[in-house]
Amino acid sequence: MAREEADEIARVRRAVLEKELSAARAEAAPCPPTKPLDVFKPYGQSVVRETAVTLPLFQKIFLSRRVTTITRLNRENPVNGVNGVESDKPTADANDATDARDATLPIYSGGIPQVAIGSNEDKARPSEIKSKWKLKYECLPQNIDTDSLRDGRLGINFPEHNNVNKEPSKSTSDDDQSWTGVCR
Amino acid sequence: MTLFPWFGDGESKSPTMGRISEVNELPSSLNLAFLESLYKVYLRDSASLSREWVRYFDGLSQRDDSHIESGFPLSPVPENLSAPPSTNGTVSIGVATLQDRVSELVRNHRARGHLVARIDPLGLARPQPSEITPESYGFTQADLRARVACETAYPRELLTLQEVLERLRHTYCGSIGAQFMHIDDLAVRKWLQERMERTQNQLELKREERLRILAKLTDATVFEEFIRKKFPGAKSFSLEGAESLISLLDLLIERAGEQGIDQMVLGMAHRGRLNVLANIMGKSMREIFREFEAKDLEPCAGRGDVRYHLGHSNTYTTARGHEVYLALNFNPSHVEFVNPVALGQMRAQQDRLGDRERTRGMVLLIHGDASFAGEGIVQETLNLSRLDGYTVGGTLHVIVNNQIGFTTNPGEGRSSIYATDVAKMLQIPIFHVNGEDLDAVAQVVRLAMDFRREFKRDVVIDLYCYRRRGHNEADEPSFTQPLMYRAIEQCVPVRENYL
Repeated sequence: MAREEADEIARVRRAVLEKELSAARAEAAPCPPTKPLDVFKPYGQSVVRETAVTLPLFQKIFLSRRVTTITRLNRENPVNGVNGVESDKPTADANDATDARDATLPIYSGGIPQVAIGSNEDKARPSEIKSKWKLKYECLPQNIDTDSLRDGRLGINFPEHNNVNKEPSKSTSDDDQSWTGVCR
Repeated sequence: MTLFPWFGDGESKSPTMGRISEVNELPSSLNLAFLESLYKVYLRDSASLSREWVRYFDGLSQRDDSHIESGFPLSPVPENLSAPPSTNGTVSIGVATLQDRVSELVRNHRARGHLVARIDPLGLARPQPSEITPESYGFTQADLRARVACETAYPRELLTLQEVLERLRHTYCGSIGAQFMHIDDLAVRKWLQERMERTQNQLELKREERLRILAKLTDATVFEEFIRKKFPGAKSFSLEGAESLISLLDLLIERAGEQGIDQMVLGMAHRGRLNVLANIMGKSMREIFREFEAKDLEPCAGRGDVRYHLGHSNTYTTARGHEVYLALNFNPSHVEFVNPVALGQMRAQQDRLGDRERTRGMVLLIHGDASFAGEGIVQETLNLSRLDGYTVGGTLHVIVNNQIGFTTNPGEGRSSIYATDVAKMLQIPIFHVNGEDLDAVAQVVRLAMDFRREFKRDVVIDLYCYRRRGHNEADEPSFTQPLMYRAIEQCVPVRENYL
């Protein structure tokens, strides 16, 4: 059988799966925010709000075995809890967390994902690399570049970093509005 | 015929000796020592023996030594005298012993060929028995050119020893390793032997059949890739490395349809279950994806279950338009607990429908290699298979043999060579097959289904494959199995191989 023929079968199959996934996500679309805006400017940059999508999406990412250390940066955020439930206190101290499951607890309770993502590999890396990883973590679900979530790469775009109306950049430069970390 | 001819007077001295005195009976290894003592007497004083024995030993001395002139080393002369001499002088002792060794070689291929068959896609080292190498029988180059009688030849004809060897290797040492010589019933053994040896255990597939296999393989591969990409970190117990299971199941259901089977009850554990649900059971992809989003489950409230335990039922329409009702049972975390449930479900259906011949429904159980060897309920369920009160007319067992149980290597998890050895208690064939060779998988499916239909007994397909990822998405397997996963990294995906 010709490879083209086989690849065509695969292409059609992928298209079906994409369509079904879109439909599934549409059916499970998040509720509108229970509060219009939860203002949060940890670094004086962005306005971020919590939606119901955030929790499952970040669960998927942070419970991945590829993430070994998640450290919450700011425990004092005056933010809403998940799905609009008020929660102004973290449920656990994650600053010293070394396990992804433990570390994700305050993220969920705190609502806005303010996390540094590191790995065992990073512990051996120069501090400047690690500091880059802590650059910006106030990201909405749509900032997660799900297409890059493969081959051990976690991509997060930050369109609102400088300009909230600007489209996410595909660049991987740290100086640009997008950022892609190697997370494995 | 005189008794005890070595005394010359036919007088019986011992009842034990008397039973082996008929020289027209072929001597065997049981009376070898006795025969050799007689031979010494013959060499010393042949007149002291009866005429029959003298004629017998005279025949031995007429063996054909012409091959000595061929330049090849002398074939080993048998160390015993059990090779019978020709009664009419037309067959030499050399030919007779050659034929004897050929028969032994053939038998050992049937019994031990599976030990050298190329069933492991990783090609990990296995102990190799010497008894199926021609060298161990002392065959020479001249012997390989000699024509020998062999019942493995279809149509019946005299083949050279070289041709016989090639046929045996294709049949028993290729991508299929068949274990069936432990079966006591000669009719069953002969049936299997003829089915395998007539075709050299290979199946000629038509283009549309290959296309179907590829399509199912593609479905399986794309599904796993998609899940991994879209739901990173989510537990799915991926089928990667064993995608050929989906093609196998498709072929199996197609064959079931051809055999007039209307319904199948399936039981399986978590490995590859989502893929089976999506690509065999016809469960809506959308529904599966929603389960990944965890919107429909309420496990925290004590209801629902994880997505890789869920069951489904559907009607499967085969390529020829036959409808087969499939029911995949829900399964708990105990990976083999579903087995007796599935059997009971099918038996109840058969009883209700009055299917006393047990031809309209079948049970398909999909196991993991470690659990099949390690969990007692497997043996308990196998034991029910031929009891009147419990039989369902034969269950088809498929072992998804990824050669590891979470992080336990086979050598640390079982005392037997194969995970399937417990099934030998049922006197049923066990087909080990390389999951990377889809043509071989197709042959095994056909063979197993036909066997089940013919004898109404269980049958086992041991699908050798590997587990490309960890046990689940939280496991890093290269920490615990570095050698195996170094080999797995080198493996080309099965779909790429099939193109």
